[in-house]
Amino acid sequence: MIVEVPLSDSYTDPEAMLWEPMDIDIHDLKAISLDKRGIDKIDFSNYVGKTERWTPSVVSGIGIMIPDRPEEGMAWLVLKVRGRMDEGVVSVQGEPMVALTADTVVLSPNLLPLEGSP
Amino acid sequence: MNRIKQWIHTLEQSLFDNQPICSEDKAVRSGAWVHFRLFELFVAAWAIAYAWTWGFYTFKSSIVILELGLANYIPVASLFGPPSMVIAAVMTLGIIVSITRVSRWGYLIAILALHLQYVVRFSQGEIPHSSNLIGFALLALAIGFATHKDSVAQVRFTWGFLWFFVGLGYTSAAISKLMGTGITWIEGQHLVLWIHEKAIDYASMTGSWTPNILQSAILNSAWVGTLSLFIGWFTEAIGVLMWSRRLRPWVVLVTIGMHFGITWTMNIVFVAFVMQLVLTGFPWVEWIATLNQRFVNISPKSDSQTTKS
Repeated sequence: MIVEVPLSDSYTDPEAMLWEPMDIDIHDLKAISLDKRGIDKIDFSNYVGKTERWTPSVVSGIGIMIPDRPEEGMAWLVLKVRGRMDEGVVSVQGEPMVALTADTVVLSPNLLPLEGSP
Repeated sequence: MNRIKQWIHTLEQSLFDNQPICSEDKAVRSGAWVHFRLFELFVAAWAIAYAWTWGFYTFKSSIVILELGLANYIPVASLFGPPSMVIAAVMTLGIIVSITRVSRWGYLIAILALHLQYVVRFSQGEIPHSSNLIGFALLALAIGFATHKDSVAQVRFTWGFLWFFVGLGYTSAAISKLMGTGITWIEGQHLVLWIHEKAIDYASMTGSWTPNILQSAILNSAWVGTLSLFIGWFTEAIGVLMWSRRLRPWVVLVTIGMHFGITWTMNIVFVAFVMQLVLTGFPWVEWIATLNQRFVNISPKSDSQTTKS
């Protein structure tokens, strides 16, 4: 899913708040509609969820799929969402993968390929 | 051994022989013909709609994301673009030649083309099962028409084959849940988790999500979820009772209820499933015949009244 968040810190820093996994409360988040942009949700979910190697072309693919951009100072975070049930307690967590800002599409620094890896 | 033979014979009679839709009785023959032709038109319309929708979708695709089924053996990516239109056209042509009775092989070509289109389309991601019942109905028509020349035998086989696998399909879904998760599948917390997941999907699609009354009740009390899941599982488990012509309308009715339940709890809509169950699961042939009979009985009466006045 894609959610809108304020772009308050340096988003290229892996330690930035922006890239930290978040607990999802559907009522507290501003979700960005895929339907309005003509994107099939299952295909989008597979594109994000099943990608193992985030090459520059895969990252730019997200930017091509989503035709518009957030306002200045905001970011649209593409989240990989996982539901979990531990000892009867349900939790849903979102891991930020890609951020779309007003003028760029950035991969989470935590997903950047390690130097020297194939 | 004799008992098994007898049971198989009873099942065969229930599925194939005691079907009013292939009856040669004059009283119901016209109703049976209308019902079966409506069924064919319904399957044809959905199959053609699927083939072209999937074709237009993959027209602009370029990469295979998920290789499933046939996609493991054939280069699916080469079927993106114009070939997907050719597949849809072949599928449509197959349907047309069989529905107009020009050739009995058309449905077979149609199901092969539709399956290929399905594999091409869902190489793009997770496979939904919303089109499975239509696919199965087309397969029943394909085998029924390809293996029988006589029109009554074609209907007899199609109907029996369809109900055998529809019933088996629902029951096997219930068994799969037991094999996959065990008896704890019905735990309400599972439904709470699925509602959350579907809420994410829904919000992702539309931008927001608000729970309905049933979803709120399940989110507030897992026991309501457990009860819902048990009813759903039990309904699937009794799917094989659709094999009995007498029980079929009742089992179909609760199955339709189960599909609505899934829609209300998890926002999964089963339009084609429910429409097909309504069209095929109730004794329309007898109802049409009864209506016809009443109309015949009323007509002379009204004529005589007209004469009197």
